[in-house]
Amino acid sequence: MCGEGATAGSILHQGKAKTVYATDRADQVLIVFRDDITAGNGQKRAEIPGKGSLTSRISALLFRELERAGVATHFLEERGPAGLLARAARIVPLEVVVRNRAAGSLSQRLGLPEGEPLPRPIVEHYYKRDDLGDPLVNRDHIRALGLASDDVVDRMEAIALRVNDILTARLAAARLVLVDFKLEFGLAGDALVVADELSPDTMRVWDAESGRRLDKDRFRRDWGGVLEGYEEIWQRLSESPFTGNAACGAGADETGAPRTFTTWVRIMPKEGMLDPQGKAVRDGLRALGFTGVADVRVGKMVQLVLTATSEAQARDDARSMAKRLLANPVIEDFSVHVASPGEGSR
Amino acid sequence: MKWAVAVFPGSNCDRDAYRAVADVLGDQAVYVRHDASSLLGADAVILPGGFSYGDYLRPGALARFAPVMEAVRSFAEAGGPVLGICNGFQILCEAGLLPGALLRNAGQRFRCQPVCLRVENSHTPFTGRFHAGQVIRMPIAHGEGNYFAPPEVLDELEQQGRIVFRYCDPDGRATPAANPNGSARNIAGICNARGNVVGLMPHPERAVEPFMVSTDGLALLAAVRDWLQATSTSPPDGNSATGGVQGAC
Repeated sequence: MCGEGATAGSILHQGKAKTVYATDRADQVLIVFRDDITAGNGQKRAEIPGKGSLTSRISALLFRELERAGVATHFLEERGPAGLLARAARIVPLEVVVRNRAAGSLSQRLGLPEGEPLPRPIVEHYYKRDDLGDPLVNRDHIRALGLASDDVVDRMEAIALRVNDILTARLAAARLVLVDFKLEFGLAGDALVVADELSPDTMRVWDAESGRRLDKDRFRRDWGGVLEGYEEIWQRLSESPFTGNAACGAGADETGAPRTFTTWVRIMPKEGMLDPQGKAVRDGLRALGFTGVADVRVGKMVQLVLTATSEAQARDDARSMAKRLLANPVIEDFSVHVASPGEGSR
Repeated sequence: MKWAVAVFPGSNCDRDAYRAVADVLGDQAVYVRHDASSLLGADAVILPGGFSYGDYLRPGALARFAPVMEAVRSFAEAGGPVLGICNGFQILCEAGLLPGALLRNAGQRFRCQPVCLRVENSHTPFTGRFHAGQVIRMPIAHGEGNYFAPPEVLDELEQQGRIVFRYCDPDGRATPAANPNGSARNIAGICNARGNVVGLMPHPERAVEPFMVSTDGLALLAAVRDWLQATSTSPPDGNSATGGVQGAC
């Protein structure tokens, strides 16, 4: 979604429910939310007049909440009834899905009853490829396809979990349950920003008391009342008081009081950078008869025991430490791994 | 003039540097410890070679947090001459006072030998007694002197005349064979944009007396005196902190 070279008003990208236009500034784009609604990777489609305006307004409201809580997004301001002005960003070809309860494809794949709360949020990655049906991929797939560096994937996961804390709290204030949601990320310069949209088109939102579905599942499953569901989400969000940092605090409370997290920072010489140490070790291994050693690279592992209120915070803290001291960004890449409870030290 | 020689735990060329400026050059000199908060009124500062903090994590990575580095940073920002030699160069890069980083030598060996250097920039406080293109000789002794920076940074250094020394053959040709450690573009030393902070891998303090490789190191250190004199006579409203260097670098 980079606007360089395009004349203002020309279409940069036509998605299933949004159109991205160039503006008179190369670093900004205009995203217009259309009334189209699709499901099953475009298999099923319809037009619901008024939907585009709702998804646009809900997105703007939620982007503002993220920005207030210190999460960088591509959102700049609202434009017209169904448009957002956004920072131009190169979209990472991965969708990041965070799930708090089982639903949709997760229920189908793993046989979990829909609505079952998960002991901790599940983060999934999907490869953005319409012709393949946006398949689920793991880290090895991401590396094999070169979709994003380990560092970018780590950062996306950490941000996604933080977004989960913020949105869960914000929706709870409107008596809504955030079941799951999809995020897309963009690189605007060096900054990794939350991009795309935050609306019932990309998240499952249930009424907290009755469990009534208010999101795109109403369309997917032909229950009707799609616009009414979206309208209700908008009404409740816009009427519920903005609680600012208190909302974030409520989200963090779910993860509890400060705990210790064993965290590992893995530091490697940048891809393609000469690693004489690795070369020497490779030659040594070959001399020992390990003829199958094609390549060796030598990095470092730093184990940290951190006090933090959530796993996301521990990961953020470790990332800051890696950036400022543990790794030299000129020559090294790093990734952060936080031990799950009980994983202990290895 | 008065020199400050920084001493970190693990510095091991501090005495050589002190001796070069105090005994051979005949200037005043003081040691400033890693935990000092001032440079004791020095006119120029040397970050000497060695293995500060055992080279733990990366060479220079921990030295940059020593309290004395705050004083060095302020001094550098005010335009004072700062010379980083070997590990001192690594510290300047880690501290962000110079761009790039020093990697392990490409040949996987610790290189300890005399080298020829071509002077590329004779306008820094340390190179005023040389002329551009002059070939000088000094020893190197390092395992991690392979200068690296992204290509755009290297281009910027070239364009701004901030490459101060290049490894070369005795005829001044910067050939791959004359490059002892794999440094990008044969770079042996660079300076900051203002020109007052210079870092190099070779050891000028080990080339100051007739029995040594050369006395070119002495010319490098002695140049600072000329530079200070030139700047002290320049108009007070002008570039008094950097003299003629600002325009050149």
